[in-house]
Amino acid sequence: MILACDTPSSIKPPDKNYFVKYFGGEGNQQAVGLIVNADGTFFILGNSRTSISASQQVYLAKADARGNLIWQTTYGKNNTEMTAQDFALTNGTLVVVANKLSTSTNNVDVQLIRFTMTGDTIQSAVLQIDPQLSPTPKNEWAKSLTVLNDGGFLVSGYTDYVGATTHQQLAMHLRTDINFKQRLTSNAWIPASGQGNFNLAAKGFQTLRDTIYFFGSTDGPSPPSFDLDLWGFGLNSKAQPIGASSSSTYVVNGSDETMTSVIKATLGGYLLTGVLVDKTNQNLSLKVIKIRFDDLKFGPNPIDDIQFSYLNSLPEKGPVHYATACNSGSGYFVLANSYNTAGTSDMILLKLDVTLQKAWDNPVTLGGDGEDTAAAVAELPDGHIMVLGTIQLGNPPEQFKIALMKLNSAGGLSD
Amino acid sequence: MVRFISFLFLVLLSTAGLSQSADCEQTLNQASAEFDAGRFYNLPGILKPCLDNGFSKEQKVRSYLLLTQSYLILNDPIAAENSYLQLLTADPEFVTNPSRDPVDVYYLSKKFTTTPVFTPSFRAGINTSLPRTIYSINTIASPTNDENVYKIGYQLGGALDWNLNERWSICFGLGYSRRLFKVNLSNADAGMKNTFIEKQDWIDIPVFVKYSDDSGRVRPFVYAGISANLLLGAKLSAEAIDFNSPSTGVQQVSQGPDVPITYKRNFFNRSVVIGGGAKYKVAKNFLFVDVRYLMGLNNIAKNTYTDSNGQFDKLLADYPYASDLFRLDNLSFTIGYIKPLYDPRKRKPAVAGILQKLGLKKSRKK
Repeated sequence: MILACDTPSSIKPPDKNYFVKYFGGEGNQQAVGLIVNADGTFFILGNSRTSISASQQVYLAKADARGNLIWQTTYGKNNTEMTAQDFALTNGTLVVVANKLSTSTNNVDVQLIRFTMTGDTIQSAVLQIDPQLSPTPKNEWAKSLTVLNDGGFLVSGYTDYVGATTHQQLAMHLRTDINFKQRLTSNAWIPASGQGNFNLAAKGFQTLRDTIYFFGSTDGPSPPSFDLDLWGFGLNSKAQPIGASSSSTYVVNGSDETMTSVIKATLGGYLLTGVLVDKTNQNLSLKVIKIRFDDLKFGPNPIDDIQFSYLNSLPEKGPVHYATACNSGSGYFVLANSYNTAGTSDMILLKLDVTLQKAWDNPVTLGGDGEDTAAAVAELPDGHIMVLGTIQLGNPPEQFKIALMKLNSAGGLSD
Repeated sequence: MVRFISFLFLVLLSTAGLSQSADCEQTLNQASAEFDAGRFYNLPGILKPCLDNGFSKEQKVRSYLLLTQSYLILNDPIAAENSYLQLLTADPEFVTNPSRDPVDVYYLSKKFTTTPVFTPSFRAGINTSLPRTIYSINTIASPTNDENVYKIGYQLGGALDWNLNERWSICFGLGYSRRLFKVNLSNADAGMKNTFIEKQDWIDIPVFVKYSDDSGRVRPFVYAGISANLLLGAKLSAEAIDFNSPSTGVQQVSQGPDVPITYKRNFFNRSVVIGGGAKYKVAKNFLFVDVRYLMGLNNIAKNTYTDSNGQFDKLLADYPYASDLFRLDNLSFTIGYIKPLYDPRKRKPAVAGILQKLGLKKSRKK
């Protein structure tokens, strides 16, 4: 026993159960999204800028179960700033939605890109507000991608196209078929909606009856309310409101609420995640709302829904407001940006039970001294937690890298 | 005047010493003559004054040898043994020679030994360390090349040899060592090169069995055993170079003061000790050189990604640094000094002696 020697066969491989891995190659990268595959591998979506003078590109990578890079690729051209927003795995391909800023015209459009499972680009298409609509210019910013029942795609986001109304920013919902062919107004599809001056669609979900529920933020209904509120609304198969009462707002007086993430809850309904900014002192807090039913019951603050608020004991102020969530076998994980007193951000991970009560006494903090921001969280079948974020490396901090972290079921970087 | 008186005092003192030595030489010559004349009973009385005060070491040896012979002739073995023991006390390295010494004295000498029971030694030297990776931890997702670079540390300490006989001993050591090692990591994909130098403070407590040559001016030795190794502290000196950042051809360097990483290391560690060297006789003592290899047995790393509170370690972001799981081997070169504590005594049967030393057998009452 005293002469026993530690070898790989006598010690548990540490990166099997927990790890921290940085992705991205040279330059700066920002994490965007994570897909966990059934075989334990991961697809990682992000953005990459190899040097300060280079254009930003979409970054896509595949990693094995221990976080080792299998392949990585980028998509983008010079004079075009690409900003990936979301991606989906469908029909054996990866479809990425990105915002494409043409630096020559200073115009933003939405671009869909289809990749093979080995990272080769096989298709792309630019989506815009219907060119026949006026006035111009029309910029479109995507926030998320939804695969529809017919295999087509729904891009949620916002646009500065405001039609003939008094809106300043509309919630955008662009729809394509499976081959990226956009459905235009001539095909009976309304590309934008809004009930206030500022409207944003964060994510859309299609029901089996072809109703699509969107969640976002708005300062409506008209006349504009005092501040931004979380917002849900329903559209029919032509993107028209589904009835006279077709939207709800989740109002917190005195603060701006921005929807940053929505997921379909495994127990039914939806989990909305947003960030509140107190309008008097600009302090941040986290808001989680569980919508009980798949079909929304519209009205102000429906009583069936439950809510959770997280306010740090120290005031938090910061520029990047983001929170996201995922389903867990026993509730939900919420990943958010958190700002310390020095004003730099870390990621915090919370666990909530199905009643949105805290399952952990304190959140787990992930990050160093730089600006570290959240992107995605997922629970593996064995209970381990995957966190994707951006960590600023260096002492002093200087370089942003995509960080994939595997944590134990308690959020720790240990067995 | 004062100088003259001092000089006179020294001259008188020297003269008195020479005079006493000359007198005792005469006494020794007288005793030899008495021995040759067969008047053995007179010898103790003749020699006693000079044995008490006056004989040199060499004269004492000759005197006690004379007394030993006399007592053997007078058939007084106890007195003979006592005289021979006194001889060995005067010169622990005295060895009888059958061609020179009387045969009965030669056989009597075989009953005695002067081998020290305990031999302390003191040492200092330099060392180099080599991490033996059990699991490589790479925080960069793409493959990273690593390279170990030898660094020189130092050590000092002492040891106590428990001599089972003239050649075999069990050695207990205690020493401090500063160990260093350097790892270079490079990742072409990420355009990064990181250098980590770890500085560790150890207390080593080796226990080993040693075999030494017991004659000659140069005496080789080899040993093998185990060691408890207490890792008292570890610090990391880190440097990370980010090439082509923020633009092509420009690099950014991350550096900072040494960071304590003791929380990433196990305190209690074990190793196998093997080594050898040679000791060189200087008067009754020895100088020695020693080459020792400590083969680390256990993984010394823990808290790969976490700080002392179990939270995300900022070193992961600063450099980024995450410790491999590894054993640590160490090669040292030492010079030292051995001070044998000679213990003239009657020899015990070899096996029984060892068993008695180990407490497995009680000594026989005489």
